[in-house]
Amino acid sequence: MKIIAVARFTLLRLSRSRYFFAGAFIIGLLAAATFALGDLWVSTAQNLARMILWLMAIWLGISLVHADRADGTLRSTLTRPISLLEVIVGKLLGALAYLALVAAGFTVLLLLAAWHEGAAVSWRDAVYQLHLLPVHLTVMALAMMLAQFAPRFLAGIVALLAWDNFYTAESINRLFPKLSPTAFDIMHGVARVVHLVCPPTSTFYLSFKDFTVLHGVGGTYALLLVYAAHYALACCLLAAWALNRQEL
Amino acid sequence: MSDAVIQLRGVSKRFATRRAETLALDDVSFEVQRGDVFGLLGANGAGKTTAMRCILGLTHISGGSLRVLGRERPSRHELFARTAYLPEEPQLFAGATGREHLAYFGRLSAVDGVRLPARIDETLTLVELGDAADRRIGTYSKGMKQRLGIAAAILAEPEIIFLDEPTRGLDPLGRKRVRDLLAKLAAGGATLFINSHLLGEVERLCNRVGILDNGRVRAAGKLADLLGENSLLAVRFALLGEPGPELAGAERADGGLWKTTVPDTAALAALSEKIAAAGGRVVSAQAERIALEDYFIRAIGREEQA
Repeated sequence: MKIIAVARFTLLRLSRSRYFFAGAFIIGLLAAATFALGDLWVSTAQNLARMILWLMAIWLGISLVHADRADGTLRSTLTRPISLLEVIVGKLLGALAYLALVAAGFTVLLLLAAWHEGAAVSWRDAVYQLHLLPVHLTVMALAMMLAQFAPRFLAGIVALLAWDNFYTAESINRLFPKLSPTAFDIMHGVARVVHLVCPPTSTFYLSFKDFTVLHGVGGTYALLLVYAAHYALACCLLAAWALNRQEL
Repeated sequence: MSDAVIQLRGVSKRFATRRAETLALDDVSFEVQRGDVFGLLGANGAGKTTAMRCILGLTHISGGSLRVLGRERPSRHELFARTAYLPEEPQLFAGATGREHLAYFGRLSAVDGVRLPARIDETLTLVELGDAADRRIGTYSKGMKQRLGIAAAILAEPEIIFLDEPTRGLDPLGRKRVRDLLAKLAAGGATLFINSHLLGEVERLCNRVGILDNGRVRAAGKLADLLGENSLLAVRFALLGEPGPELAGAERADGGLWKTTVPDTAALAALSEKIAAAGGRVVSAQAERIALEDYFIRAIGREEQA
Protein backbone atom coordinates (compact mmCIF):
# COMPACT_ATOMS: atom_id res chain seq x y z
CA MET A 1 0.00 0.00 0.00
CA LYS A 2 2.87 2.35 0.79
CA ILE A 3 4.37 1.71 -2.65
CA ILE A 4 1.03 2.60 -4.22
CA ALA A 5 0.90 5.79 -2.10
CA VAL A 6 4.35 6.81 -3.37
CA ALA A 7 3.36 5.95 -6.97
CA ARG A 8 0.14 7.99 -6.72
CA PHE A 9 1.92 10.98 -5.26
CA THR A 10 4.70 10.77 -7.87
CA LEU A 11 2.11 10.74 -10.64
CA LEU A 12 0.34 13.72 -9.06
CA ARG A 13 3.59 15.70 -8.88
CA LEU A 14 4.66 14.79 -12.41
CA SER A 15 1.26 15.65 -13.85
CA ARG A 16 1.65 19.13 -12.35
CA SER A 17 5.15 19.66 -13.63
CA ARG A 18 5.85 21.83 -16.61
CA TYR A 19 7.32 18.80 -18.35
CA PHE A 20 3.88 17.21 -18.48
CA PHE A 21 2.54 20.22 -20.35
CA ALA A 22 5.60 20.24 -22.61
CA GLY A 23 5.05 16.54 -23.37
CA ALA A 24 1.34 17.06 -24.01
CA PHE A 25 2.12 20.04 -26.27
CA ILE A 26 4.69 18.08 -28.31
CA ILE A 27 2.32 15.17 -28.75
CA GLY A 28 -0.47 17.52 -29.78
CA LEU A 29 1.89 19.15 -32.26
CA LEU A 30 2.86 15.75 -33.57
CA ALA A 31 -0.74 14.76 -34.15
CA ALA A 32 -1.41 18.05 -35.94
CA ALA A 33 1.70 17.61 -38.09
CA THR A 34 0.65 14.14 -39.17
CA PHE A 35 -2.33 15.60 -41.04
CA ALA A 36 0.10 17.13 -43.49
CA LEU A 37 2.08 13.94 -44.12
CA GLY A 38 -0.50 12.02 -46.12
CA ASP A 39 -0.05 8.27 -46.37
CA LEU A 40 3.15 8.24 -44.37
CA TRP A 41 1.60 9.84 -41.34
CA VAL A 42 0.94 6.79 -39.20
CA SER A 43 4.46 5.37 -39.25
CA THR A 44 6.11 8.81 -39.04
CA ALA A 45 3.98 9.83 -36.10
CA GLN A 46 4.53 6.49 -34.39
CA ASN A 47 8.31 6.75 -34.73
CA LEU A 48 8.39 10.32 -33.48
CA ALA A 49 6.20 9.51 -30.50
CA ARG A 50 8.33 6.47 -29.77
CA MET A 51 11.44 8.62 -29.72
CA ILE A 52 9.81 11.23 -27.48
CA LEU A 53 8.60 8.59 -25.02
CA TRP A 54 12.06 7.03 -24.99
CA LEU A 55 13.66 10.37 -24.18
CA MET A 56 11.02 11.06 -21.54
CA ALA A 57 11.73 7.68 -19.93
CA ILE A 58 15.44 8.50 -19.77
CA TRP A 59 14.81 11.99 -18.42
CA LEU A 60 12.43 10.63 -15.77
CA GLY A 61 14.92 7.92 -14.88
CA ILE A 62 17.84 10.24 -14.27
CA SER A 63 15.84 12.88 -12.41
CA LEU A 64 13.31 10.80 -10.46
CA VAL A 65 15.34 10.12 -7.32
CA HIS A 66 17.92 12.82 -7.94
CA ALA A 67 15.37 15.65 -7.78
CA ASP A 68 14.02 14.40 -4.45
CA ARG A 69 17.53 14.12 -3.07
CA ALA A 70 18.38 17.63 -4.21
CA ASP A 71 15.33 19.28 -2.62
CA GLY A 72 15.48 17.14 0.54
CA THR A 73 12.04 15.57 0.09
CA LEU A 74 13.59 12.09 -0.10
CA ARG A 75 14.92 12.58 3.41
CA SER A 76 11.50 13.81 4.57
CA THR A 77 9.84 10.76 3.03
CA LEU A 78 12.32 8.47 4.75
CA THR A 79 11.32 9.84 8.15
CA ARG A 80 8.21 7.69 7.74
CA PRO A 81 8.07 3.94 8.29
CA ILE A 82 8.99 3.14 4.69
CA SER A 83 12.16 1.67 3.21
CA LEU A 84 14.26 3.27 0.52
CA LEU A 85 13.51 0.36 -1.83
CA GLU A 86 9.76 0.87 -1.41
CA VAL A 87 10.18 4.58 -2.19
CA ILE A 88 12.24 3.88 -5.32
CA VAL A 89 9.86 1.20 -6.60
CA GLY A 90 6.87 3.46 -5.92
CA LYS A 91 8.48 6.38 -7.74
CA LEU A 92 9.28 4.18 -10.73
CA LEU A 93 5.70 2.92 -10.88
CA GLY A 94 4.38 6.48 -10.66
CA ALA A 95 6.66 7.56 -13.50
CA LEU A 96 5.55 4.55 -15.55
CA ALA A 97 1.91 5.53 -15.00
CA TYR A 98 2.85 9.03 -16.21
CA LEU A 99 4.42 7.61 -19.38
CA ALA A 100 1.35 5.43 -19.87
CA LEU A 101 -0.84 8.53 -19.69
CA VAL A 102 1.28 10.31 -22.30
CA ALA A 103 1.25 7.21 -24.54
CA ALA A 104 -2.51 6.85 -24.08
CA GLY A 105 -2.92 10.51 -24.96
CA PHE A 106 -1.01 9.97 -28.16
CA THR A 107 -3.08 6.90 -29.00
CA VAL A 108 -6.31 8.85 -28.58
CA LEU A 109 -4.96 11.66 -30.77
CA LEU A 110 -3.91 9.12 -33.40
CA LEU A 111 -7.34 7.53 -33.47
CA LEU A 112 -9.02 10.94 -33.64
CA ALA A 113 -6.76 12.03 -36.47
CA ALA A 114 -7.41 8.79 -38.35
CA TRP A 115 -11.16 9.16 -37.89
CA HIS A 116 -10.98 12.73 -39.15
CA GLU A 117 -8.97 11.70 -42.23
CA GLY A 118 -11.14 8.66 -42.87
CA ALA A 119 -8.02 6.46 -42.72
CA ALA A 120 -8.03 2.93 -41.39
CA VAL A 121 -5.89 2.47 -38.30
CA SER A 122 -5.45 -1.07 -37.06
CA TRP A 123 -5.66 -1.86 -33.36
CA ARG A 124 -1.96 -2.77 -33.52
CA ASP A 125 -1.17 0.79 -34.69
CA ALA A 126 -3.39 2.20 -31.96
CA VAL A 127 -1.79 0.31 -29.07
CA TYR A 128 1.72 0.53 -30.48
CA GLN A 129 2.97 3.09 -27.91
CA LEU A 130 1.29 1.35 -25.01
CA HIS A 131 2.86 -2.01 -25.81
CA LEU A 132 6.30 -0.41 -25.55
CA LEU A 133 5.77 0.53 -21.92
CA PRO A 134 7.63 -2.48 -20.46
CA VAL A 135 10.64 -1.47 -22.55
CA HIS A 136 10.34 2.11 -21.33
CA LEU A 137 10.21 0.77 -17.78
CA THR A 138 13.52 -1.04 -18.22
CA VAL A 139 15.22 2.00 -19.76
CA MET A 140 13.89 4.28 -17.05
CA ALA A 141 15.04 1.86 -14.33
CA LEU A 142 18.45 1.56 -15.99
CA ALA A 143 18.86 5.36 -16.18
CA MET A 144 17.70 5.74 -12.57
CA MET A 145 20.13 3.10 -11.33
CA LEU A 146 23.07 4.46 -13.32
CA ALA A 147 22.39 7.99 -12.04
CA GLN A 148 23.15 6.77 -8.49
CA PHE A 149 26.65 5.72 -9.55
CA ALA A 150 27.61 8.24 -12.25
CA PRO A 151 26.85 11.85 -13.22
CA ARG A 152 23.35 12.23 -14.58
CA PHE A 153 24.30 13.24 -18.10
CA LEU A 154 26.52 10.16 -18.40
CA ALA A 155 23.74 7.94 -17.10
CA GLY A 156 21.42 9.54 -19.66
CA ILE A 157 23.81 8.93 -22.55
CA VAL A 158 24.36 5.29 -21.60
CA ALA A 159 20.61 4.74 -21.26
CA LEU A 160 20.11 6.40 -24.63
CA LEU A 161 22.44 3.87 -26.21
CA ALA A 162 20.15 1.11 -24.95
CA TRP A 163 17.76 2.15 -27.70
CA ASP A 164 17.60 -0.74 -30.15
CA ASN A 165 18.31 1.68 -33.02
CA PHE A 166 21.90 1.85 -31.76
CA TYR A 167 22.34 -1.88 -31.59
CA THR A 168 23.04 -3.05 -35.13
CA ALA A 169 25.76 -1.73 -37.41
CA GLU A 170 23.11 -1.04 -40.07
CA SER A 171 20.98 1.06 -37.79
CA ILE A 172 23.99 3.11 -36.62
CA ASN A 173 25.01 3.63 -40.25
CA ARG A 174 21.49 4.68 -41.09
CA LEU A 175 21.32 7.16 -38.24
CA PHE A 176 24.86 8.54 -38.64
CA PRO A 177 25.94 7.98 -42.25
CA LYS A 178 28.96 10.29 -42.04
CA LEU A 179 30.51 8.76 -38.91
CA SER A 180 34.26 8.08 -39.08
CA PRO A 181 35.28 4.38 -38.78
CA THR A 182 36.85 4.98 -35.34
CA ALA A 183 33.78 6.82 -33.99
CA PHE A 184 31.58 4.11 -35.50
CA ASP A 185 33.59 1.34 -33.78
CA ILE A 186 33.42 3.15 -30.42
CA MET A 187 29.68 3.74 -30.69
CA HIS A 188 28.96 0.22 -31.80
CA GLY A 189 31.16 -1.25 -29.05
CA VAL A 190 29.55 0.88 -26.32
CA ALA A 191 26.08 0.09 -27.65
CA ARG A 192 26.78 -3.65 -27.54
CA VAL A 193 28.00 -3.38 -23.96
CA VAL A 194 24.95 -1.36 -23.01
CA HIS A 195 22.71 -3.96 -24.61
CA LEU A 196 24.38 -6.59 -22.50
CA VAL A 197 23.26 -4.75 -19.36
CA CYS A 198 19.89 -3.69 -20.76
CA PRO A 199 18.79 -6.81 -22.61
CA PRO A 200 15.03 -6.38 -23.05
CA THR A 201 15.50 -4.23 -26.10
CA SER A 202 18.10 -6.50 -27.68
CA THR A 203 16.93 -9.92 -26.52
CA PHE A 204 13.23 -9.39 -26.85
CA TYR A 205 12.88 -6.65 -29.38
CA LEU A 206 15.30 -7.92 -31.96
CA SER A 207 14.20 -11.49 -31.42
CA PHE A 208 10.51 -10.68 -31.09
CA LYS A 209 9.59 -12.60 -34.23
CA ASP A 210 11.53 -15.71 -33.14
CA PHE A 211 9.88 -15.61 -29.74
CA THR A 212 6.42 -15.24 -31.21
CA VAL A 213 6.97 -18.40 -33.24
CA LEU A 214 7.62 -20.28 -30.00
CA HIS A 215 5.19 -18.58 -27.60
CA GLY A 216 2.75 -16.61 -29.71
CA VAL A 217 2.31 -12.83 -29.41
CA GLY A 218 0.53 -13.05 -26.05
CA GLY A 219 3.11 -15.41 -24.58
CA THR A 220 6.00 -13.31 -25.81
CA TYR A 221 4.43 -10.17 -24.40
CA ALA A 222 3.84 -11.86 -21.06
CA LEU A 223 7.50 -12.89 -21.02
CA LEU A 224 8.51 -9.32 -21.83
CA LEU A 225 6.38 -8.01 -18.95
CA VAL A 226 7.85 -10.46 -16.45
CA TYR A 227 11.35 -9.79 -17.69
CA ALA A 228 10.91 -6.01 -17.54
CA ALA A 229 9.48 -6.19 -14.01
CA HIS A 230 12.40 -8.28 -12.79
CA TYR A 231 14.91 -6.10 -14.56
CA ALA A 232 13.41 -2.93 -13.05
CA LEU A 233 13.37 -4.49 -9.58
CA ALA A 234 17.04 -5.44 -9.91
CA CYS A 235 17.84 -1.83 -10.89
CA CYS A 236 15.84 -0.56 -7.88
CA LEU A 237 17.75 -2.88 -5.53
CA LEU A 238 21.07 -1.65 -6.89
CA ALA A 239 19.98 2.00 -6.65
CA ALA A 240 18.76 1.48 -3.05
CA TRP A 241 22.06 -0.16 -2.17
CA ALA A 242 23.99 2.78 -3.65
CA LEU A 243 21.81 5.36 -1.87
CA ASN A 244 21.96 3.52 1.45
CA ARG A 245 25.72 3.91 1.39
CA GLN A 246 25.41 7.68 1.08
CA GLU A 247 24.41 10.22 3.68
CA LEU A 248 20.94 11.31 2.48
CA MET B 1 10.10 2.81 38.08
CA SER B 2 11.84 4.81 35.40
CA ASP B 3 9.70 5.51 32.34
CA ALA B 4 12.57 6.64 30.16
CA VAL B 5 11.71 6.64 26.45
CA ILE B 6 15.20 7.76 25.42
CA GLN B 7 18.39 6.72 27.22
CA LEU B 8 21.91 7.56 26.08
CA ARG B 9 24.86 6.11 28.01
CA GLY B 10 28.35 7.16 26.98
CA VAL B 11 27.38 7.64 23.34
CA SER B 12 30.11 8.77 20.96
CA LYS B 13 30.05 9.59 17.28
CA ARG B 14 33.11 10.02 15.09
CA PHE B 15 33.14 11.36 11.55
CA ALA B 16 36.24 10.21 9.75
CA THR B 17 37.59 11.56 6.50
CA ARG B 18 40.84 10.61 4.79
CA ARG B 19 42.64 13.50 6.42
CA ALA B 20 41.07 13.89 9.82
CA GLU B 21 38.72 12.47 12.36
CA THR B 22 36.15 14.58 14.17
CA LEU B 23 34.59 13.58 17.46
CA ALA B 24 31.11 15.02 17.14
CA LEU B 25 29.73 13.38 20.30
CA ASP B 26 31.92 12.40 23.22
CA ASP B 27 30.60 10.25 26.09
CA VAL B 28 27.09 11.72 25.89
CA SER B 29 24.63 10.53 28.53
CA PHE B 30 21.12 11.75 29.33
CA GLU B 31 17.58 10.45 29.41
CA VAL B 32 14.10 11.60 28.52
CA GLN B 33 10.98 10.39 30.34
CA ARG B 34 7.59 9.79 28.76
CA GLY B 35 5.61 13.06 28.71
CA ASP B 36 8.74 15.20 29.03
CA VAL B 37 9.41 18.27 26.95
CA PHE B 38 13.14 17.89 26.60
CA GLY B 39 15.36 20.66 25.26
CA LEU B 40 18.82 19.85 23.98
CA LEU B 41 20.73 23.11 24.15
CA GLY B 42 23.99 24.17 22.64
CA ALA B 43 25.66 26.65 20.38
CA ASN B 44 25.78 26.03 16.64
CA GLY B 45 28.04 23.06 15.96
CA ALA B 46 27.74 21.72 19.52
CA GLY B 47 26.48 18.37 18.23
CA LYS B 48 22.72 18.75 18.80
CA THR B 49 21.63 17.66 15.33
CA THR B 50 24.12 14.78 15.33
CA ALA B 51 22.74 13.59 18.67
CA MET B 52 19.20 13.72 17.32
CA ARG B 53 20.17 11.91 14.12
CA CYS B 54 21.91 9.21 16.18
CA ILE B 55 18.80 8.70 18.32
CA LEU B 56 16.69 8.43 15.18
CA GLY B 57 19.06 5.93 13.58
CA LEU B 58 19.74 8.31 10.68
CA THR B 59 23.42 7.98 11.46
CA HIS B 60 25.22 5.18 13.31
CA ILE B 61 26.78 5.75 16.72
CA SER B 62 30.47 4.92 17.15
CA GLY B 63 30.21 3.75 20.76
CA GLY B 64 28.08 3.62 23.89
CA SER B 65 24.55 2.48 24.46
CA LEU B 66 21.37 3.97 23.05
CA ARG B 67 17.84 2.86 23.97
CA VAL B 68 14.72 4.34 22.41
CA LEU B 69 11.21 3.27 23.42
CA GLY B 70 12.63 0.41 25.40
CA ARG B 71 14.67 -1.07 22.54
CA GLU B 72 18.43 -1.04 22.12
CA ARG B 73 19.14 0.70 18.78
CA PRO B 74 15.76 -0.06 17.16
CA SER B 75 15.56 -0.26 13.38
CA ARG B 76 14.78 2.92 11.49
CA HIS B 77 11.51 1.45 10.24
CA GLU B 78 10.39 0.52 13.74
CA LEU B 79 11.44 3.87 15.12
CA PHE B 80 9.62 5.97 12.53
CA ALA B 81 6.46 3.93 13.04
CA ARG B 82 6.33 5.26 16.61
CA THR B 83 8.09 8.64 16.42
CA ALA B 84 8.13 11.68 14.15
CA TYR B 85 10.96 13.95 13.12
CA LEU B 86 10.83 17.54 11.96
CA PRO B 87 14.23 18.48 10.51
CA GLU B 88 15.74 21.95 10.83
CA GLU B 89 14.31 22.99 7.49
CA PRO B 90 11.33 20.75 6.79
CA GLN B 91 11.37 19.76 3.12
CA LEU B 92 7.88 19.85 1.73
CA PHE B 93 6.50 19.05 -1.70
CA ALA B 94 6.12 22.56 -3.09
CA GLY B 95 3.83 21.53 -5.97
CA ALA B 96 1.33 19.79 -3.69
CA THR B 97 -1.29 21.41 -1.48
CA GLY B 98 -1.05 21.23 2.29
CA ARG B 99 -3.86 18.68 2.40
CA GLU B 100 -2.25 16.48 -0.28
CA HIS B 101 1.07 16.61 1.54
CA LEU B 102 -0.55 15.45 4.77
CA ALA B 103 -2.57 12.77 2.99
CA TYR B 104 0.65 11.40 1.48
CA PHE B 105 2.49 11.37 4.79
CA GLY B 106 -0.57 9.89 6.51
CA ARG B 107 -0.65 7.00 4.05
CA LEU B 108 3.07 6.41 4.49
CA SER B 109 2.57 6.38 8.25
CA ALA B 110 -0.23 3.83 7.83
CA VAL B 111 -2.92 6.10 9.30
CA ASP B 112 -6.27 4.34 8.86
CA GLY B 113 -7.58 5.32 5.41
CA VAL B 114 -11.14 5.84 6.64
CA ARG B 115 -9.98 8.04 9.51
CA LEU B 116 -7.36 9.92 7.49
CA PRO B 117 -9.48 12.80 6.03
CA ALA B 118 -10.92 13.65 9.46
CA ARG B 119 -7.49 13.40 11.08
CA ILE B 120 -6.03 15.73 8.42
CA ASP B 121 -8.76 18.32 9.07
CA GLU B 122 -8.21 18.03 12.81
CA THR B 123 -4.44 18.50 12.45
CA LEU B 124 -4.79 21.40 10.01
CA THR B 125 -7.11 23.14 12.46
CA LEU B 126 -4.65 22.58 15.31
CA VAL B 127 -1.81 24.21 13.37
CA GLU B 128 -4.14 26.98 12.14
CA LEU B 129 -3.78 26.10 8.46
CA GLY B 130 -7.40 25.14 7.81
CA ASP B 131 -7.94 28.07 5.44
CA ALA B 132 -4.76 27.40 3.45
CA ALA B 133 -5.21 23.62 3.25
CA ASP B 134 -5.99 23.58 -0.46
CA ARG B 135 -3.32 26.06 -1.51
CA ARG B 136 -0.03 24.92 -3.06
CA ILE B 137 2.76 24.73 -0.49
CA GLY B 138 4.94 26.84 -2.78
CA THR B 139 2.73 29.84 -1.90
CA TYR B 140 3.10 29.36 1.90
CA SER B 141 5.16 31.66 4.11
CA LYS B 142 8.08 30.21 6.05
CA GLY B 143 6.03 30.11 9.25
CA MET B 144 3.18 28.30 7.51
CA LYS B 145 5.62 25.75 6.09
CA GLN B 146 7.02 25.17 9.54
CA ARG B 147 3.55 24.63 10.98
CA LEU B 148 2.70 22.27 8.11
CA GLY B 149 5.90 20.37 8.91
CA ILE B 150 4.72 20.06 12.52
CA ALA B 151 1.29 18.96 11.28
CA ALA B 152 2.93 16.22 9.20
CA ALA B 153 4.94 15.18 12.26
CA ILE B 154 1.95 14.88 14.61
CA LEU B 155 -0.52 13.45 12.07
CA ALA B 156 0.05 9.82 13.01
CA GLU B 157 0.01 10.61 16.75
CA PRO B 158 3.58 9.48 17.43
CA GLU B 159 4.89 8.63 20.88
CA ILE B 160 7.84 11.04 20.60
CA ILE B 161 8.18 14.09 18.37
CA PHE B 162 11.70 15.25 17.49
CA LEU B 163 12.00 18.88 16.45
CA ASP B 164 15.29 20.31 15.25
CA GLU B 165 15.37 24.10 15.73
CA PRO B 166 11.61 24.41 15.18
CA THR B 167 11.56 28.22 15.28
CA ARG B 168 14.72 28.93 13.32
CA GLY B 169 14.37 31.66 10.72
CA LEU B 170 10.85 32.64 11.78
CA ASP B 171 9.75 36.17 12.57
CA PRO B 172 8.64 36.92 16.18
CA LEU B 173 4.97 36.28 15.39
CA GLY B 174 5.78 33.03 13.61
CA ARG B 175 7.96 31.96 16.53
CA LYS B 176 5.16 32.64 18.98
CA ARG B 177 2.64 30.63 16.95
CA VAL B 178 5.00 27.65 16.78
CA ARG B 179 5.78 27.97 20.49
CA ASP B 180 2.07 28.08 21.34
CA LEU B 181 1.50 25.05 19.18
CA LEU B 182 4.26 23.10 20.93
CA ALA B 183 2.86 24.16 24.31
CA LYS B 184 -0.53 22.80 23.21
CA LEU B 185 1.07 19.48 22.23
CA ALA B 186 2.95 19.33 25.53
CA ALA B 187 -0.24 20.06 27.45
CA GLY B 188 -1.82 17.14 25.58
CA GLY B 189 0.81 14.81 27.03
CA ALA B 190 3.09 14.44 23.99
CA THR B 191 6.78 13.71 24.54
CA LEU B 192 8.78 16.39 22.73
CA PHE B 193 12.51 16.41 22.05
CA ILE B 194 13.54 19.88 20.94
CA ASN B 195 16.96 20.95 19.69
CA SER B 196 17.47 24.65 20.10
CA HIS B 197 19.90 27.37 20.87
CA LEU B 198 17.11 29.81 21.78
CA LEU B 199 17.33 29.58 25.56
CA GLY B 200 14.31 31.73 26.31
CA GLU B 201 12.07 29.44 24.30
CA VAL B 202 13.45 26.31 25.87
CA GLU B 203 12.98 27.77 29.33
CA ARG B 204 9.35 28.52 28.55
CA LEU B 205 8.58 25.12 27.01
CA CYS B 206 10.81 22.45 28.51
CA ASN B 207 10.75 20.66 31.84
CA ARG B 208 14.01 18.80 31.22
CA VAL B 209 17.18 19.94 29.45
CA GLY B 210 20.59 18.80 28.38
CA ILE B 211 23.42 21.22 27.63
CA LEU B 212 25.81 20.16 24.91
CA ASP B 213 29.10 21.87 24.19
CA ASN B 214 31.68 20.63 21.70
CA GLY B 215 30.04 17.22 21.70
CA ARG B 216 30.06 16.79 25.49
CA VAL B 217 27.15 17.05 27.92
CA ARG B 218 27.85 19.87 30.40
CA ALA B 219 24.63 19.44 32.36
CA ALA B 220 21.45 17.38 32.10
CA GLY B 221 18.37 16.96 34.24
CA LYS B 222 15.11 18.53 35.25
CA LEU B 223 15.12 22.25 34.54
CA ALA B 224 13.66 23.08 37.97
CA ASP B 225 16.37 21.06 39.71
CA LEU B 226 19.21 22.52 37.64
CA LEU B 227 18.10 26.10 38.10
CA GLY B 228 17.05 25.51 41.71
CA GLU B 229 20.45 24.08 42.63
CA ASN B 230 22.05 27.08 41.09
CA SER B 231 19.91 29.74 42.68
CA LEU B 232 21.33 33.14 43.55
CA LEU B 233 20.80 35.24 46.64
CA ALA B 234 19.14 38.53 45.81
CA VAL B 235 20.35 41.11 48.33
CA ARG B 236 18.56 44.42 48.91
CA PHE B 237 20.44 47.03 50.89
CA ALA B 238 20.10 50.62 52.05
CA LEU B 239 22.91 53.07 51.41
CA LEU B 240 23.34 56.78 51.60
CA GLY B 241 24.61 58.05 48.29
CA GLU B 242 25.83 56.04 45.29
CA PRO B 243 27.59 52.65 45.74
CA GLY B 244 31.36 52.80 45.33
CA PRO B 245 33.48 50.55 43.11
CA GLU B 246 33.54 47.84 45.82
CA LEU B 247 29.74 47.47 45.25
CA ALA B 248 29.91 47.65 41.46
CA GLY B 249 27.01 45.93 39.72
CA ALA B 250 24.37 47.04 42.25
CA GLU B 251 21.16 48.35 40.68
CA ARG B 252 18.45 50.64 42.00
CA ALA B 253 15.47 48.83 43.57
CA ASP B 254 12.08 49.97 44.87
CA GLY B 255 11.85 52.12 48.05
CA GLY B 256 15.18 53.89 47.51
CA LEU B 257 17.07 50.63 48.07
CA TRP B 258 19.82 48.97 46.03
CA LYS B 259 19.86 45.43 44.73
CA THR B 260 22.58 42.97 43.78
CA THR B 261 23.05 39.18 43.67
CA VAL B 262 25.62 36.83 45.19
CA PRO B 263 26.07 33.10 44.55
CA ASP B 264 26.11 31.83 48.15
CA THR B 265 26.07 32.71 51.88
CA ALA B 266 29.86 33.12 52.08
CA ALA B 267 29.67 35.78 49.39
CA LEU B 268 26.72 37.30 51.25
CA ALA B 269 28.85 37.66 54.41
CA ALA B 270 31.61 39.38 52.43
CA LEU B 271 29.09 41.67 50.76
CA SER B 272 27.50 42.59 54.11
CA GLU B 273 30.90 43.69 55.38
CA LYS B 274 31.45 45.90 52.33
CA ILE B 275 27.98 47.43 52.70
CA ALA B 276 28.59 48.13 56.39
CA ALA B 277 32.00 49.66 55.58
CA ALA B 278 30.28 51.96 53.09
CA GLY B 279 27.82 53.06 55.79
CA GLY B 280 24.84 51.00 54.66
CA ARG B 281 22.90 47.94 55.88
CA VAL B 282 21.41 44.77 54.38
CA VAL B 283 17.60 44.93 54.35
CA SER B 284 16.83 41.48 52.91
CA ALA B 285 18.47 38.48 51.25
CA GLN B 286 16.40 35.83 49.52
CA ALA B 287 17.03 32.96 47.13
CA GLU B 288 16.21 33.71 43.49
CA ARG B 289 16.17 31.17 40.63
CA ILE B 290 18.66 32.08 37.93
CA ALA B 291 17.63 32.34 34.33
CA LEU B 292 18.47 29.46 31.99
CA GLU B 293 20.67 31.78 29.96
CA ASP B 294 22.83 32.54 33.02
CA TYR B 295 22.95 28.86 33.89
CA PHE B 296 23.93 27.95 30.33
CA ILE B 297 26.72 30.51 30.24
CA ARG B 298 27.93 29.37 33.64
CA ALA B 299 27.90 25.67 32.62
CA ILE B 300 29.84 26.34 29.43
CA GLY B 301 32.16 28.86 31.11
CA ARG B 302 32.93 26.53 34.04
CA GLU B 303 34.07 23.84 31.64
CA GLU B 304 36.12 26.27 29.61
CA GLN B 305 37.90 27.45 32.75
CA ALA B 306 38.48 23.86 33.83
